[in-house]
Amino acid sequence: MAVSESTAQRFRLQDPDVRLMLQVRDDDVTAFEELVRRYQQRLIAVFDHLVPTREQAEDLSQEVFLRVFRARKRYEPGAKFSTWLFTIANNVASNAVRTLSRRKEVHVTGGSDKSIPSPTLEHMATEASGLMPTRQVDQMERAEIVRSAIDSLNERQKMAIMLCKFEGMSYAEIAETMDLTVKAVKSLLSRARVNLKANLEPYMQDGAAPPRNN
Amino acid sequence: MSGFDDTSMKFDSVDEELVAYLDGELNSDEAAQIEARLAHDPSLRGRLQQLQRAWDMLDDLPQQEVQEPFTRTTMAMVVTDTADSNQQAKAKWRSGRLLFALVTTTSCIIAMLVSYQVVAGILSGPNDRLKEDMPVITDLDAFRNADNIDFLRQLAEEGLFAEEADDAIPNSP
Repeated sequence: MAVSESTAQRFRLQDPDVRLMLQVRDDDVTAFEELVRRYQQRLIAVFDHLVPTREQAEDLSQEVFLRVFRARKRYEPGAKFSTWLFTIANNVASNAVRTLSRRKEVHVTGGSDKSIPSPTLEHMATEASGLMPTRQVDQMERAEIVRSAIDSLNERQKMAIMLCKFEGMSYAEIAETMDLTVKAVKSLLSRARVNLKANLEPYMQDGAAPPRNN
Repeated sequence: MSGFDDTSMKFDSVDEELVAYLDGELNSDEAAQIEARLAHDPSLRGRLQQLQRAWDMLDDLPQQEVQEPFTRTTMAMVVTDTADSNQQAKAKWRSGRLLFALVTTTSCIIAMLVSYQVVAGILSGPNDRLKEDMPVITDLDAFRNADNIDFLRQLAEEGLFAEEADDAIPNSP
């Protein structure tokens, strides 16, 4: 999509990462390495909740960086760099999740119904609080409970949550990243947060809610 | 735009407004309306607090550090990919050049053959006619003196001119 000169100029002035990407467009590998350093952790953190293993999250992050580099010559600053990057990440994630779903279907058809079911959130919360008289669940268990709550959301809800919570994106930016309307993002995030609340309710009602970090 | 797979889920528009309020996505009028409702509705306040608590619990997710090898392997991967792309581009360029050379050579050969045929046609036309008319040219004076064409034809059929014509024509190439 063509980007007007005034828009490009605005993002060039406002966003230092846009300026770095413009250097990458001119084949500046050092600028690209700087962008990798700035965004690698953020990308992995998002993918970490979309695919089963950390290794897969790293692979997908590298795939995103590779696509960014391959697309450098066509780059026009029509949005914040992070919005552009996470749009690519969203596409990569969608493809990866589809592939994983297909594999899972094949696997299930192959007869994986003998596998042991994973413990429910409620079970985990009860077990944790019952085992610890002080009802203080340690950090790792809390993290695991939250992670399980996120895992129970669908992929779009997960992505929207990650972009909103950890990337601090506005609804408009999330809409651009996920190719949705702002209204759709509002509904998506609302459902995601209501589901998240419902999933974490047993844990919160148990009185073992962790202290706030912020 | 793809559709959602969770449209059938129970969904409360109040939650949508509460979440948008928590995210700072309501305009001042909408925010004032929600705040007025919250002031008079303890259950709504409870719901808002639950949503906020669940949201805050996401801060408990561990921050996993990215190790230096990840950066290095990413850069190495990009460099390798670029090198591969360059090689592919070069190979494509080479094969393109080869194809161009082949087409050019073939075109030249065809052009040369056609030219040869045309030139040969142009050059051989008058010679053939000359060769055909040679017996007449040779004996043109005799023919001029003859009055009867039928008599000449009779002489020709008897082979009177053939030997002379052969003598007149130089060795053909």
